[in-house]
Amino acid sequence: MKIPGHPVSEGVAKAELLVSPEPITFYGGVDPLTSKVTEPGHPLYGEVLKDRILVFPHSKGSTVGSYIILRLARRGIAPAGIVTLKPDEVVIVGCVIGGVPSMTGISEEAFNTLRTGDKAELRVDRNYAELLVEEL
Amino acid sequence: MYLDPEEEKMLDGEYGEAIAMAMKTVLRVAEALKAERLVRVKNAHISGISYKNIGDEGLQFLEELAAKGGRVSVPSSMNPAGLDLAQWRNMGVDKGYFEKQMRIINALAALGIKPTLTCTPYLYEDISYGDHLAWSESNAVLYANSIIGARSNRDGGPLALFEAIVGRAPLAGLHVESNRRPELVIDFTSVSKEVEEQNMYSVAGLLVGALTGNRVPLVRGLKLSKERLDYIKLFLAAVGATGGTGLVLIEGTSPENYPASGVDTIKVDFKMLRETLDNYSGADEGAIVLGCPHLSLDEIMDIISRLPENGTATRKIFLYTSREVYEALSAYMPRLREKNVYVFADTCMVVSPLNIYAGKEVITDSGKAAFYLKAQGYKVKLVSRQKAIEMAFT
Repeated sequence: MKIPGHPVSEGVAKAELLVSPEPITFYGGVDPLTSKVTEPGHPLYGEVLKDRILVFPHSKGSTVGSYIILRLARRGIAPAGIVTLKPDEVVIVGCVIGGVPSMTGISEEAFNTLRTGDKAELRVDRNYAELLVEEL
Repeated sequence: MYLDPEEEKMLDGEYGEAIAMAMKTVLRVAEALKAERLVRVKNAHISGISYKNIGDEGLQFLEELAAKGGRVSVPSSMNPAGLDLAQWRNMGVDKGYFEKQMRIINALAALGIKPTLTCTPYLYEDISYGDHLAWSESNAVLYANSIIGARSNRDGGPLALFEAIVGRAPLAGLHVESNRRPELVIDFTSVSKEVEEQNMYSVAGLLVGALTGNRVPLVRGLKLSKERLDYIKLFLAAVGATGGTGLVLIEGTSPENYPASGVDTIKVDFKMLRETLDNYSGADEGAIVLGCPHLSLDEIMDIISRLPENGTATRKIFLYTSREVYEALSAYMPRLREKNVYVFADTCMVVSPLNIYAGKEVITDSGKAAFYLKAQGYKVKLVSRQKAIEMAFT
């Protein structure tokens, strides 16, 4: 299955998906030293973002979240790629400065078909972005 | 999306790597906001200064950006840091932390940003009605839009930095007049007298932010004359803490007048104010912290005039302001210290290690400080400025 989107930050990532039905707050909700989700009650609580393609609707909370994405990337523990339903400033700025491959604007229909553990490849260049999900 | 030839060159790296990265980021955000083009900005204000938040990686990033030749292209100022640059030893900050904080400030200064370290750039920067700005720091954005009639979105720190480098912001959101019209009316008419007599402008602001969310509200029935900047600052800062909006149209005060037809009206009664205030009724014992947003020179002189002639405060009073105001006050410092009053510059109660030098219980007149300190686990009591001073001298 091939899911098109809008480019945010260029690059290629091949990894398993980690899908959150809920928005993610990076500042205060993700530990920049371990990449673990620390927000109590969050569906991804305790999950590690490292080496996974993180899929979520959009971010929430402080704009310092951009710097948290940068910190994860510089420590080598950022998500392999980021795919969102809706664009937002925090994720866009964080992915560009952290060099994390990212696309946004996938359809709600496509979003609902994605499952944690699916194997996928994210390809983003300046004018083109797609997520290729392996069929089972 | 339209880019002019110079913007294309920036994107293609003809002016270097730092400008290309800045342009790429601004462009991606512009596309996301569905902007048709960029708009030139006159002034920028950068937040995200604290080492505690951006860490070693943020510090390295800023140093690299400066080393790559990044430079702001418009006058730009800095939000407060995590300590007073001169008095940090009195704040319980360790030397390692101080040195990292200084490297962040120096990297930003190398990028051309003035180390003003204040959250009130509107008191110092040359901005006027209709100017487009790239400001972060919610209280400053609210003041610029709502009181001056300048135009800024409520950007995050790194985005405002990139906008300052390319001198442009996406022409979207509050940069566009059609997005500056009221989306609801919040009517204080029936409690106008109580708010004024009891100085409840912080409480009114916390309530407006919670009611309005991301919408632009028209606020009716609040006496917020420009003669009382202290009330306006406290009100807007509180809106920015609980709400996501960057513009509040204050009837009779804001320079922009748009008809509020066909939108919902919320009538505020005293019970709503009381319930908002009741969230901040802890801490009768703690120190007094004033200066969120940073106090102006006039405000500090007013506070000094209200201190009793004789006697010393029974609890510490901390005042926070800009370095410029601090220096203008130097002749008063010995007398203030005698009275148990301490002035800090470059920082504030929310971003400095307050628990170390003041404890975990505080009294403030700022709805914004009350909101953020409570979220950090402090016991906070929110009172008027006059009441706070009285509590210190009884």
